[in-house]
Amino acid sequence: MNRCTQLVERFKRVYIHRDTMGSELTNRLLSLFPSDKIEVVESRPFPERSGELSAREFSESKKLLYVCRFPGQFFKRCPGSRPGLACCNYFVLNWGLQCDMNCSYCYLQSFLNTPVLTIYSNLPDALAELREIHASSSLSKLRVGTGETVDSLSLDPLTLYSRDLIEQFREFPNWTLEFKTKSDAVEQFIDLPSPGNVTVSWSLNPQNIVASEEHGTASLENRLRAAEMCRDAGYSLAFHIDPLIWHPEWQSSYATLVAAIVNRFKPIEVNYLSTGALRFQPEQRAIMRERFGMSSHVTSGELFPSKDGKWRYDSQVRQEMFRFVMTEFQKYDSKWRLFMCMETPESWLNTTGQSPFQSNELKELFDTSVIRSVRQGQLESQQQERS
Amino acid sequence: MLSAGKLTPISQCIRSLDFGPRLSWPQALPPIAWKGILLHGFDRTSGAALDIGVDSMTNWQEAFVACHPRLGLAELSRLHSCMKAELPELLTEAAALFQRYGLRWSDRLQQILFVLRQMPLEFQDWVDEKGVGARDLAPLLAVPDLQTIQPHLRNLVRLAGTKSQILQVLECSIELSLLGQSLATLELQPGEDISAYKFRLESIRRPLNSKRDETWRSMVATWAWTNQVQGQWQRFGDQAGLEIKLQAFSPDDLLKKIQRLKVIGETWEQST
Repeated sequence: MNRCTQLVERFKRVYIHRDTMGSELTNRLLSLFPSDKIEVVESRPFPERSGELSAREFSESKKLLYVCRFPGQFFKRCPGSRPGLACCNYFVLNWGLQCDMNCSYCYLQSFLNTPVLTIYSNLPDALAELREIHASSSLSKLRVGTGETVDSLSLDPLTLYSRDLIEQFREFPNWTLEFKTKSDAVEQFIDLPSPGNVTVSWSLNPQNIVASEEHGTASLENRLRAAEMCRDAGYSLAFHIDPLIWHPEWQSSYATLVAAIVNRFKPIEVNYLSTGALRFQPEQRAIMRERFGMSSHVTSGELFPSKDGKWRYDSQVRQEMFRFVMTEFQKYDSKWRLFMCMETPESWLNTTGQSPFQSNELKELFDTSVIRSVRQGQLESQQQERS
Repeated sequence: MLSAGKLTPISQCIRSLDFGPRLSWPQALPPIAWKGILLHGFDRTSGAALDIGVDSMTNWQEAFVACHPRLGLAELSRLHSCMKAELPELLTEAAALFQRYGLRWSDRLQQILFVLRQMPLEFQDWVDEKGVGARDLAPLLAVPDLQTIQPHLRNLVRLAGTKSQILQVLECSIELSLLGQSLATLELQPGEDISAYKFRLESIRRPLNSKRDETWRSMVATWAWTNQVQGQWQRFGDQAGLEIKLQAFSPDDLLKKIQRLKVIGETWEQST
């Protein structure tokens, strides 16, 4: 069974907003899905379901696909970039909302308030927005990711958005596009020659964690195989060992994961490697308990409220885990470098002995001038629109 | 707009909406009904009710909210239950009615209302007295057998503790029971106050960190603290460390004590 067929079977119903008729995405979905699954609608289905979703509504939403236009601004800064967190100059382009996979720790459980998996049909508008920013800002470097509110690639066999994005970024040689995924769906774009500035990145966890916490995702082996395919096709790679999940045998699990990575890839082949420990918003605990019980390593974990309001492992435990993963990589080759995602500067300091702002390799990632420049560009465009 | 209304014998009124409001209707006023459905004054068995729905433009929601301007979540859960069982035709207006009480009608809210309705009345009253919100009660949604938790809830609300402490104990004990602990073993022990009780449950819930904290606590107690400089191992959310109490009576005294603290710092470093 090919990927498209699997996805077509996974969705119970496809709601297509009338405004999207004629768009490339809608035409493609109409050709892929049987007509009895498709319903053309004038507005979002289930208007009565709004606000905080129940566990059953959240689970159901993964099987209901809704295609509509996105009316707002596509291009947003990564939510990690808040005061108190060291973050990495990452901008996000959200072409959808909700994920077809089902990770126990997924932040969408406390974030999502729409009862359907939404895909925006107007990617061309997003690309136009990018072109406008590119033209109006004096930016030399910028990273754009598409995997914040939707997995970058798991639905790509349906949308083929990766192809349009890759072609667009061919025109922005100094900008970097990052696909972030837990799937192994790469065949749909791998025939395109790499423009050199597209990074395909994988969130990785040991296979025992994939099996117990990352339901519906590709196995670790399949993710790494897909990464090899991308490398061989000339695409840049990144790996996010995130979230680190404590479990009794965590050291052997993560050592095995590091070995699986270093046995297949050289440091030079991996653009960057990041890690982060499990964290979630306090309100997420209830829905996780309902959906995954307490046998999950996530719900049964020993977490505490931290200063920023999120729940995290004890800071010593986090540092122990970060140090362990870093040391494991360094054992194989000192050229492996990790950075920490969504962590406090104190964690950086206690784990690596330096602030992220002191590291030469990371300075570029954390370069605040890039952020200022994008903001300036956006402000100028808004002013132009108003006048 | 409320009209003058019409008096109807209370024996002829429908009592389906008797959800057991906590506040009783003033004896000086006649019970209120809307088109024959009694809205308040459920304790009255004789006399007449003032029906404000007859020959007026007042809809039942307006009439109901006028009689019950403030209701707690548990009262609303009982009301919802009455509406569902006895007057399902009114359920279509549930969303609008609950909005008047500041609640967004949703599947999640309905689940909370259903669960709360199954809980002992003592617990329901506590929820309303303390103004507990729907989100605070979300841990109950994970309980597979609501009967088993009832004795525990009765005990919880009898504790002398703040709303926040009791809700934290509730969540922790639910998690522990889902992890296989018997609820009977999670009750308050003789001699425990709410803080000690909460601390004990959290220690069971986070055994590795508790063990680590306890080890540090014992070790820190053996360090060479001096008079007027005392320290103890404390947990502050996701961090644990030393909390130091220092009394100084002159700048010289302060400097001396800070100097002594350097020794503590070295001991700490050696212990890490």
